[in-house]
Amino acid sequence: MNKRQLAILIAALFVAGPALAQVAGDDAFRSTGSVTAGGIYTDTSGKDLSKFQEYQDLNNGMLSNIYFMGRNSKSWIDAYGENFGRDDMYVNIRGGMYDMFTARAYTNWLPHNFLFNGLTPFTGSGSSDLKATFPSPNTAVWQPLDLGYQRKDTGGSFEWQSYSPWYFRVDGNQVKTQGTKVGAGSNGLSPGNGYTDLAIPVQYETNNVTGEFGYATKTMTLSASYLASNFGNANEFVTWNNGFFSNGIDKTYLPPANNYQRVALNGTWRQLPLSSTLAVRYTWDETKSDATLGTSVLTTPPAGTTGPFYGAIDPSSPTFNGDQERQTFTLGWAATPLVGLDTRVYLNWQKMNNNSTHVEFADGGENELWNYKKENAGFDVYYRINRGNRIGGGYDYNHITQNRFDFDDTKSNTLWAEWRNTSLDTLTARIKYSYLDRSSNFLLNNAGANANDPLFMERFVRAFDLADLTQNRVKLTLDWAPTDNIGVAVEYIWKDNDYGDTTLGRTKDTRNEIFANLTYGAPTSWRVSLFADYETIKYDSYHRFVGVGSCNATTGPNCYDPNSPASASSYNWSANVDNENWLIGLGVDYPVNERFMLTGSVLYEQTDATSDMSAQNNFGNPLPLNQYPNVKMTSLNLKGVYRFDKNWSVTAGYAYQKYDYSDDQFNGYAYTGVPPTAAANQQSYLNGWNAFQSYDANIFYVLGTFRF
Amino acid sequence: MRSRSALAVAGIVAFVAVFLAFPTMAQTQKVDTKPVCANCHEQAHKSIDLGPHGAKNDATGSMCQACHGEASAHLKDPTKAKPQGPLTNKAATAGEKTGVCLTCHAGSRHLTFWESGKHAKNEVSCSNCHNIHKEAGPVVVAPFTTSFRANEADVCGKCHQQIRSATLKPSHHPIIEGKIKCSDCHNPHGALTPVMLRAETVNQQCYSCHTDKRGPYVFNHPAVEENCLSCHNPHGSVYAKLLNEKPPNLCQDCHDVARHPGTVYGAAAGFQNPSGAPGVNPTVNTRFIARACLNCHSNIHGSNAPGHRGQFFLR
Repeated sequence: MNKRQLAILIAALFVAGPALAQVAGDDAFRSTGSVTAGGIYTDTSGKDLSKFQEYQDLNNGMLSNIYFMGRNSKSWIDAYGENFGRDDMYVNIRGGMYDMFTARAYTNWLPHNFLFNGLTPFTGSGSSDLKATFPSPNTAVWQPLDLGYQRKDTGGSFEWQSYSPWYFRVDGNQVKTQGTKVGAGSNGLSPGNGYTDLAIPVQYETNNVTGEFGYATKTMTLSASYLASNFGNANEFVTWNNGFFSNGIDKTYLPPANNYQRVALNGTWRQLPLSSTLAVRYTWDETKSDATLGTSVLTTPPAGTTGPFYGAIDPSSPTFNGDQERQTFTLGWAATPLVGLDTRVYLNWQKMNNNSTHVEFADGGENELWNYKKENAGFDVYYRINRGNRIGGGYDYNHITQNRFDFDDTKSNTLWAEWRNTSLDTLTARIKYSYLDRSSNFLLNNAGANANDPLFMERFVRAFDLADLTQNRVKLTLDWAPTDNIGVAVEYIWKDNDYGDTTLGRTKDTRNEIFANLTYGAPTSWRVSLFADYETIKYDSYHRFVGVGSCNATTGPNCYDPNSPASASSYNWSANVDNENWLIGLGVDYPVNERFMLTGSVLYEQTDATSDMSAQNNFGNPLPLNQYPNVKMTSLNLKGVYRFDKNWSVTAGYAYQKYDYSDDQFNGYAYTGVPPTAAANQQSYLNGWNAFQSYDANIFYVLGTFRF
Repeated sequence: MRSRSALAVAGIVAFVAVFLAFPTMAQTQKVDTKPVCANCHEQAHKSIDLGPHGAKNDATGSMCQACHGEASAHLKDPTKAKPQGPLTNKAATAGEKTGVCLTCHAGSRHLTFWESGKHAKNEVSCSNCHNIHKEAGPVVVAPFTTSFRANEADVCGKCHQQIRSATLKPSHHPIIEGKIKCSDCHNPHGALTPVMLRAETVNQQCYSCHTDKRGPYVFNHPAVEENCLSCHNPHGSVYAKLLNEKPPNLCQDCHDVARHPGTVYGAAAGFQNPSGAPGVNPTVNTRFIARACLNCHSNIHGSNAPGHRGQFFLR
């Protein structure tokens, strides 16, 4: 949508308002609304302001918004638009005729910025063809680079209700995403040859259409819907000169176009025996994606060369036909068989068939076609003992069968209990405890012929998403309202995951979180909200390093067994990641007088994250990571609204934001010369993403509003 | 491209034009009359007058009484007799309060799974979230945004404090910016999926926006297919890309084989020389700095690249 089209749209809204308001008669269309316009000015310091503008357009310029709401006894309209012509524009118009139809049209623009003022040795960033000649050690001749994309979601809906209880509804939208995002590619075929940051082109378009019809009454709701969604990517891949391969043209594959369709059947029956409600849902969906398969490592080798590393890795099929089909069935029965007894029984069933092409490549690569079946059932029971006490409990069973290479069968059992007390009129307290036990059938217990076989180590590695797990979780909430104007809320969560059978991998993670909130609000006076949050999150893991491809005299025999003696080339080590977060917020709404309203808030957040490591005999000399990362965020937001009369008001605001980011993975950042001792064709080329995020910003804005 | 945009604008203009015609169509409809309740409760009347509740109201205040209870005694002696509906009764349970709303709204398609949802089970009533008479919303504590709309997350955050805290972290979905709503993913009116997700599974929910991640790829990352939440926290994280943990640690929690996946990466692997000497650290490790494992394994969600390049998500 260009600026001219925007002007037409805004003009139409302006015309509509007064025109509607002018209609007189016994059933006049009554309306209200506002038109706001003003400007924003920002004063910033920082090398990369992409974090400041991550999701918003905060450039100097005009701010605007329009609101309109009106109705008569038969029809209604509700429209709002803001930030016209800016990258974060939003327009939403809803309306309809009571008991006949509702309709909506909207557009929602979202910038997503990743990097400002970066550098790249490539020309053509944003396109699917990145060109450079390596080595390129002189950053002074590199190109400036910004990474980010603009997402525009435009759509609408229409629902016909005239033949109630029957209804029919159509939703449709188009999402266009244009720009670049963060990416990279390893220089060589094996690790250790450096890498090169790439600007990945983003030219996506997704079109979604959903049709739904149904029958909805107070006692029964039935509906059937069909969704068709198409994702298109203008670029199948991005090509780039790879310095490791003497500037041969390399190729990074981008998300393939896909078609998705889904059928859903929903039903709910209420007022059944035992004061129960039965809810049922069945869905079927399918995702398809076709691709022509590449046959060699490089698209084009350097001129005059045909080295073996450009050679064939021919697939067993010239094309890949991706096809995943899923079905789900869910049933929930909620009943109140006795006064004070509230129960629910549920069943979830899911199945995924992967009908995609199985492909084998000449280099040994082979795709795994993942299929699964998930069965979940459980119940909840709540019983109100008396007016002040309610207890609850439940059980959940989960069973996953799949053809994953490491686990094929997973069962988990969860038990939970809670007690809610409202004995005191001013206090509500709830404590909930849950216990989860998960066990999986591990398929790699016999991996590797013996402890001198690299595969042997897989016997000890467990992926934490399916590894055997014992989880304990406690949640405590307190809501205290000593007076009508004061509210105190406290929430405490403790969660402990213990991956007991894991030798190598994540062994434990623990969360401790406490959140406190205080609010005060006098009906006609000032209101305040104060909160303080503190949380610690810890991840413990255990690993084994073997620095060679096969056991030798340095490592000693059986080096792939974590129980074997440590050496400088093969040893166990552990990591303890500790993440400590603070957040304090204060907000105030203060009506100075009938005309003047002041609002303000201040937020301060701090994260201190570390990783402490230890190794057998201190081999590898692991030094702790003390900024992993450390973050401090401060934001101040002040706004005053002065009303001159019932029509006119002015809003003025000031905001301050400060973001300090320090990270051991970026401190001392270098665009190239990494590592300094590497050969020229093994150097890495970086673009500055995430390295210089810290910023200070002062934001000023003034807006005038006319209400009608 | 240009014609599509023009079409979209024309559609929106036509949409507005349709509503211009409504007043004419409505001339024969019933007359709007101020309810008797407005004589004393003027502000309460004004707050609903232009909304759907006001549209169905009449001179007797039938819509007022539909929610607040029968008021004939109250009309005779406003000081002594008050309507006895659950909404004005402090002792009423959440279920009783919700029952008032369901009197009319039980047939709404949005409430199809209300009874199966966590809010119903945890005694959350409609009025805990919906502000019918437009009283002042929660005091907003948030960084500056260019959006002047009320933010749904401020309402949800009153109870879900852990989530509110997460959305304020450096890496987050654009929730506090008002570009994504809690209800885009969760159905507060009830759902059959755990945590009241709108979609059947976590991944299907994520794919509804992240359509580029749907694949199917030649090489799929099992952890991605299992559950996006294995690696990401959708509400917010201190780590980039809403990751639960920082790479390489996150990757090493599942992957440990000979050579680099099992290598210990400490401060000596960073750009900065641990001794404080100037220049790039001679022992800097490209598998630790910046995005760590993702520097090379950049297509971690899946890849169509051939052979091992795709299998290991390198291209």
